[in-house]
Amino acid sequence: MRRVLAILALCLALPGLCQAGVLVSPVLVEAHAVEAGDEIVLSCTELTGRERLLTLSLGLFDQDAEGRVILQEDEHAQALAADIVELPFREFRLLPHENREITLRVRSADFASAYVVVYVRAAQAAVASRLAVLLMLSTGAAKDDLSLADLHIDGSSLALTFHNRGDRHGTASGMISAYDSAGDLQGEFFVESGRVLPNRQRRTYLALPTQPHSVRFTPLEDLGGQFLVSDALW
Amino acid sequence: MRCNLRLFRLGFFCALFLALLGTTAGADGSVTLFVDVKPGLALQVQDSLTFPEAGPGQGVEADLDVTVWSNVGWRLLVSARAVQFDDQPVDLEGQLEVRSASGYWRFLDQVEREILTEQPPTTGDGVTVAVPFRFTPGYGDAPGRYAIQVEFTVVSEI
Repeated sequence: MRRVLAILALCLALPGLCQAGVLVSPVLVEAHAVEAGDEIVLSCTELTGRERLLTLSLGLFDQDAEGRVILQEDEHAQALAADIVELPFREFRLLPHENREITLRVRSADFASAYVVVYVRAAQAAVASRLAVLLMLSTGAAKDDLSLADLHIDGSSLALTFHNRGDRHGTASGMISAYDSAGDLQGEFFVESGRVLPNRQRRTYLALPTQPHSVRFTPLEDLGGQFLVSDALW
Repeated sequence: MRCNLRLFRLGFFCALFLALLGTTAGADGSVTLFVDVKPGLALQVQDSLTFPEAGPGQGVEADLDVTVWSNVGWRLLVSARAVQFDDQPVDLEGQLEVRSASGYWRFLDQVEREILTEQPPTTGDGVTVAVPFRFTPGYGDAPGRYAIQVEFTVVSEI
């Protein structure tokens, strides 16, 4: 019979090991017109004067309605990512303060767009840590197609939802014109969607200094790429 | 003919010199330097965390320091990877939880939980956050020392 008052010491660690202290750059790679054989170079720098054993692994990522990255690491995602990006090795050592470049190769460009994660993990760490490098890849024929799908006014707060019907990620931006009940212009405010993945929508919030009766969104086509929505009035 | 060739060479090198001067320096001698800054992230995590002793049903808390350096917006996630007892993998009946920035305790397993979201770029000193963990042993957990491996992930905002 187990004693109720048994002492249970818990340690969040495997004993006697070190932790991360590695700078990875870039952590976001956006590459259009990608072709098989293209190379992506990551830089890893040891910061704290300790030798590090680092590992590399792959996954995919998606996006939720708030624009947050959703990491996908199941076997299927790992296999798909490995079909797209080839890692030069699975693990490597960084000497104290060493900077090392890691060259990834695009194995296949048989896609319109692909959203791959490269994890750089401190392999021997007790409390393990890793940095996620996001690769946003698209091939030459892929296009974004962003439009404003919804706009909601709540006092002085605006919630804008942008939808990307294209087959690659994109960004929409524009001006919000705020009007009072008499139809007079209260002010104009810049708004940007942030990156929206294909077939995804993303909400953006804008706090206004006034409480408008109505607003008009005018897209900036030169910044928004394929953003072709005409003026909208709510 | 020989003189013309010399003049041509002299003129050519003068033109080349002036052209190079024109591309590297302004009229006032100033030089424009260009540099592309890439998005970068670094993460440092406390070596380990030892909870106070606890009996079954008795929750104990401890904070673990995490420091992030970033020149882009970022998020911090955490998951629990493995539990060992006497160097053997085991399943714990007790619950490990982590408290997110919203203040809620969330059960921690292999599914990543968000600790911090929509964080702005940091200064050169980075941002250190104390991540609160709570463990509540179960009656099915034999007395002794358990090692739970947790993993932090930092990812940039897109």
